[in-house]
Amino acid sequence: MSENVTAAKAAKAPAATFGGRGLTIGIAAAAAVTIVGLVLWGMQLAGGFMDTAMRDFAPWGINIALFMFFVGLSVGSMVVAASPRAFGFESFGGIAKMAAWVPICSTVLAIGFVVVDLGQPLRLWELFAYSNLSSPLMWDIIVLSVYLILSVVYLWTLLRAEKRQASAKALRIVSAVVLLWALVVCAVDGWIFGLMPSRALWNTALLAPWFVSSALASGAALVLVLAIALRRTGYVDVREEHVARLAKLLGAFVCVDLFFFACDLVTEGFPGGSGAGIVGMLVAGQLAPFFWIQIVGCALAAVVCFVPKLRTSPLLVAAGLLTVAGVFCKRMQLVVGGFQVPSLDYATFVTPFTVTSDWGVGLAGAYEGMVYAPTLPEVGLALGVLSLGVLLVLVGLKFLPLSSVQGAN
Amino acid sequence: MSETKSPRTGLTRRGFLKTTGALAGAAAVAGTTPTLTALAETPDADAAEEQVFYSTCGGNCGGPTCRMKGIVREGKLVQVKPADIDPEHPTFRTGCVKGQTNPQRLYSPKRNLYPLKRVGERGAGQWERISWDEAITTIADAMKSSQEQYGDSSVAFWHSYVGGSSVLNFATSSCTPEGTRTGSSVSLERFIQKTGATVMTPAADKTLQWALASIPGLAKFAPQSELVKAQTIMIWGSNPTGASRSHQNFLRKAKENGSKIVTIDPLVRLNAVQSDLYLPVRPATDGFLALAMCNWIVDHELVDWEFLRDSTVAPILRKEDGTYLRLSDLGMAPEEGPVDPKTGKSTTLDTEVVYDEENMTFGSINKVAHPAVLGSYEANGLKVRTVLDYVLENIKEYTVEKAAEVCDVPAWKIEEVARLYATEKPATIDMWEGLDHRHNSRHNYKDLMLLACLTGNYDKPGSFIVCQHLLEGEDGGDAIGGTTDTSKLIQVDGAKKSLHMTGMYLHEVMEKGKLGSTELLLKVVYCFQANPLAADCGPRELKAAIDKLDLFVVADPYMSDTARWADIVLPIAMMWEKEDATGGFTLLEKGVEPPGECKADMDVFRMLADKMGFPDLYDKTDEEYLREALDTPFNKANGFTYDDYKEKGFIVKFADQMEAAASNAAAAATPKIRNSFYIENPRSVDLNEPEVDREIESRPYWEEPLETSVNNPAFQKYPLFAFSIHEIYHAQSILLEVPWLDELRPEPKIEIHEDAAAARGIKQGDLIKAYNDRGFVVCKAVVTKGIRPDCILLPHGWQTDDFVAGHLTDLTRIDMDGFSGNSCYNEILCEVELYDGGAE
Amino acid sequence: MTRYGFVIDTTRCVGCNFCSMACKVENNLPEDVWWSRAYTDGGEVEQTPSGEWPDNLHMAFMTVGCQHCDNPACVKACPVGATYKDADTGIVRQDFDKCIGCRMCMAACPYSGVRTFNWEEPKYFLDFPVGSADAPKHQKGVVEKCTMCWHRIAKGERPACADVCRTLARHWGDFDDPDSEVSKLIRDRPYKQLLADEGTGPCVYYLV
Repeated sequence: MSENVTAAKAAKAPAATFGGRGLTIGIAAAAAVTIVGLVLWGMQLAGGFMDTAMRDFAPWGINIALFMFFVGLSVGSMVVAASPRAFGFESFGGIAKMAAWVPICSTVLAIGFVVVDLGQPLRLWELFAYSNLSSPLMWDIIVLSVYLILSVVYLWTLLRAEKRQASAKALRIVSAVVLLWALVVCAVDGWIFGLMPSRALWNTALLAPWFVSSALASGAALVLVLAIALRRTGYVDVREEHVARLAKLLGAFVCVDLFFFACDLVTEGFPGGSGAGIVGMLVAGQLAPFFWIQIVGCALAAVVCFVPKLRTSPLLVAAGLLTVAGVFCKRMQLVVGGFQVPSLDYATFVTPFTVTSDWGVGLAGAYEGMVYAPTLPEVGLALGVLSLGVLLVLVGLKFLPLSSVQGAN
Repeated sequence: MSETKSPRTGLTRRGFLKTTGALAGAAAVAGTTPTLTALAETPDADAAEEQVFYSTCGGNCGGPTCRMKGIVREGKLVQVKPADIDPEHPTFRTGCVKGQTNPQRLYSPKRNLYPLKRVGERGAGQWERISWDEAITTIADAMKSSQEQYGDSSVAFWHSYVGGSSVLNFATSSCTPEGTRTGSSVSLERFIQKTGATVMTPAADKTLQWALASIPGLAKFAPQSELVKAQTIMIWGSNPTGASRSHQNFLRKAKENGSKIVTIDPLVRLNAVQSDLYLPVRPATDGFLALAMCNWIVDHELVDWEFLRDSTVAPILRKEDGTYLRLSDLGMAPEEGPVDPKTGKSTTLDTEVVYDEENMTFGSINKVAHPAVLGSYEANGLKVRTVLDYVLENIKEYTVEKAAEVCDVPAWKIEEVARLYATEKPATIDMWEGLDHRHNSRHNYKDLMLLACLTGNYDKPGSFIVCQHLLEGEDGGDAIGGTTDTSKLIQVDGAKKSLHMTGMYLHEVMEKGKLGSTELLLKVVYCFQANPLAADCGPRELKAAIDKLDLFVVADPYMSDTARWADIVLPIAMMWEKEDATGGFTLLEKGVEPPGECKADMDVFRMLADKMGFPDLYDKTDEEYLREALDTPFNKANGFTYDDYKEKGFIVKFADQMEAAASNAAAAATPKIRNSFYIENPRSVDLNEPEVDREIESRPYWEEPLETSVNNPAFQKYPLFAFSIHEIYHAQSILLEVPWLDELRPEPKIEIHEDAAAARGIKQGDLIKAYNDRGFVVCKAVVTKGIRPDCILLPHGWQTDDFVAGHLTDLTRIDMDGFSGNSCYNEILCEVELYDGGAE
Repeated sequence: MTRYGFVIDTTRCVGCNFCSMACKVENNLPEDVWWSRAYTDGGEVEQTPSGEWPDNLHMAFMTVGCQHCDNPACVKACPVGATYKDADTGIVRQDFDKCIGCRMCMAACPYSGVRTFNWEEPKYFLDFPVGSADAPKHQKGVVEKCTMCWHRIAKGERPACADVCRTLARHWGDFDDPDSEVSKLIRDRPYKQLLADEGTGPCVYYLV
């Protein structure tokens, strides 16, 4: 456990200040917002979904986007945390345990986003009683459940290994298993969408690998941001070279992700290709804001990551955040975009259940803008769920031995 | 419910139990989660018994009624659906998207439940609930004192067409140019006969009614099944894929048989898209188009002379004063006529005279075998010429070239349609009342009759003009129900004479105290089965006229635009809430009790008669009236009596099920009517005494409309022709504010051509204002390719609350066709602009 | 075997929604819920044409509800098997009591709008149920769609929409019976299926 030794030596930050009142206040605040979220959920359960922007022609929204996003984040950060162990090369320093806790929180969050999106959450038990194994969602539920367990096992093993209660070999095996499984989760998550022939934007074989690349990018970005932030608070010790290596990795992931996007755009938009309209919708149409935030954000992040001079802490944090925002935009764009292309492009009557639209042009009007844009109550509920994640992370920081700095816990 | 116990129940409790078993069984076989499935779809074990009744939707779509089946559960009407399919006649279908909404209409929160008295300003919506006794006492006292002071005619009953006509409740007025009015409902007619009160008749459908009475032969309506026999079909003045329900079935059948279909309409509906040729004619120029086609057919020698000679008025000799030359003009003895079935005595006829080409003599049209169709003669010192000779000379000015300009349709299209119609026979015109809403409309029927007669496309299989667009229809002809006869039931001893006038003359009568030269001091008007302030024209003038009345009563199931203007509102029972009978359809069953204190019109008339001091006016019970009205020889012979209906509820027969002998005998009894395109004595149905220019009124003719003309100076300021139609989801205001229909079409919209919209900066869904000097209306725009660029389609039948501002009727003019009494619903020039939110 | 489905004659359909309303009333559908709807193949607003005025206009109608596919995307997507294909009838069925409300089926179904979700407690304009007494009960948070009037078929009746069409554009029957009207129609007339290349094998045929 060489890192720990180094970390102890390198501890410069005033460790005593971390985990004190600030963290407690943070936990209290996150708990409060979580409770607000629960109240909002209760209101949704009682009153229904009409204060969301989801409707029959766009039945999924921000919750599903965030589900995808957090599955990706979880997988990405897990890969960053576990791959060094699995492949036996030098790790990213003192953030390993942190990077193992974050995926657990993210997975819980992802599940949370699906649960609050259900019309009948009390029937969740049926998933296990009446599992339909032909459903990609069912696959996802299974692999995600296993993944959650594996993640906990991995963290537990990591902590045990630290105390030399588990062998390095055991840790390496667990790491390898969880790493592989994470990629499976990611691919299955992609198949939920990719195996739907009805949605032009989703139905591509590229979707699963693309999900992996996005996951890695967002995961690496999150770990990078957390590493820099927690180093500043003195919770973990991360050496500059680790940060640089992480940054380069992030840059690479982002580039791969952009490459996949480019592949997709070219395939769709190649002259004579059937998807020119879709490219137009992304690049200059209703979904352009999501598209450009992602493209520009990720490109900037890559630049920061690859140019040594730019690899300062603030810029790297910015790069990380841009990547996270970019990947989130991609998730939103994917969900909305799936419904933005009407499969039957004909005029019909519109009721309040059909689409959210007060245009006088009915269905055609509803597709003029974004067919789905989250409403305030939806964002509020999403923030509530999100704060559950923050709460978990903070509680972990406070009560779990995740610090690489002795005495921080 | 006690009086309506129906022996015909639907699903009973026992039936439900069986059903449950079947469902569980099916689910078990399916093998997928049988328990849950069975649970999910097991009906409540204590579901109530259902009863089945037959009536009609009362939607006033413009046509006669559709037979509908009503399901009643726990005293509520829970479903109204089409009558069951007869396996022998599977193309007999009834109902439409609107008709099924009866439950929502019956139980609407907008129903009037109690009699109301106005307490605020007229139209302010401030009401006080009063008892029926107070309401009826007030009305009866006002009627009595008005009649004492101003004469019997000072009280008027104003009706329209809500329920067609029926034995008890639904009033009808059939007015002829001879000045007679025929009604058949016991409630109104006995009251009118007893009190001598005036009847204010509808202003809609009048042009066709007038034309039917004025133009012999026009009344030969065809069932829709006849369409299939036509090789060429000209859809003209009808909306077969919107307002008609079964029509498309027959049009497609004709098409599948190889018929050519032509649509002549400024508006594009499916029938126009599916036509072989589409003529987007400029509004109000249809008569010109028909006459130009006539000229082209004459010029190209495609005339059916034989048909003209044998079956039309063409050979009749016309005197210079416009009337026909008759036997008496030549001092010839009258001809023996048919035996009068009532008196049993023979009659004599002073028949029309023709010129006998073979014998070079004059003779009765009924006797001469080969009369001359063209030519002028001198007969007994009178200058005469054949009707056709006169007519053809006078239509020469309507050339195809001019028509191309006036009607704004390419000449080649006009020629092609004329060619099709004259050569691809049998050819037919497929018309309803679409051309009837302008000031020059009445001439169209003469023009079209000429077109049909010239080509021999009339009075033959597959050749007609007016088609029964709104009947249910069936491949073998129209379905047949029982008849009703109230002619004896409405007779009151010592019946008083009464006046009648088209209701829309109200403003003129209130202003002048007379109509024509007949004094008419209206003081009390009782409006029922009508909503003229939402559905008719000139609301400003109408409201001003109503203000001058002593008492304006509106009896209506809903708080309609007209009811809002009343002094007293009476809550009226709707279809399914009262038993009645209507001819051709027959028994309308009562399935549920009316809500609140709603009463059938018949009951209101009974109470009114009582308070007026005629307690014995209605001397029979409703059931007795119905029994006697249904006690016709036809009904007895064919099983359509009251008892038959009470037993079976639904009885309908088809042509192939009727006794052939009976229908043949009926046909033989009808004397041959020569098809006419000439009106010998043009007259008004009203007392308004219009000036009659025989040169114009007698012959096929086209004149500029009152307003909707490019030559009208106002056209420079208001360059859009506006009109309205009956559509899929609505016909009249009675069908509005029905939530199920509102989900399909939530608000009124104006259709405007994309070029006209672009020129005005109007985009799809924008709020727009259509306006002219008379008023304006604001609603959303539908930008379409499906209308002439110089036209807009206004949404008919909506009420004040439905529009963003203004009202469709605010654009209309009060002027009517002075002969038929038809409102000029479509005499509207207007301009359209984006709505800026201002009130004016 | 039996394979029930519909044939819709688009040369006859006038887009009046009579069948949609028959379904709405028969099944006591809540406010804003429609299991069948008429589409206008034409302009961007219902009942308007596309093309060039006046001689090259195009407009046609088709009524669209659940296509009761042979290879339904929804059935594969549902994680709990709440939507399933009935082997005996070919009807794609739904178990309202089982649905967890995840809306996978709605995302998977290519025919947007044929599945509806009760986004709130079902509301009704009238305070008593209309239509058939044994129509399915509607639940908040559950996906619904055309049941092909299972409650009627179970009684040996035909779907509520099947025989109402005034223009005789709609036909219902068993495609596995070669003598059925629907089988004959698709033998004799050219037809299209909606989004046939999605591989769903819809059991609604549109005559063209």
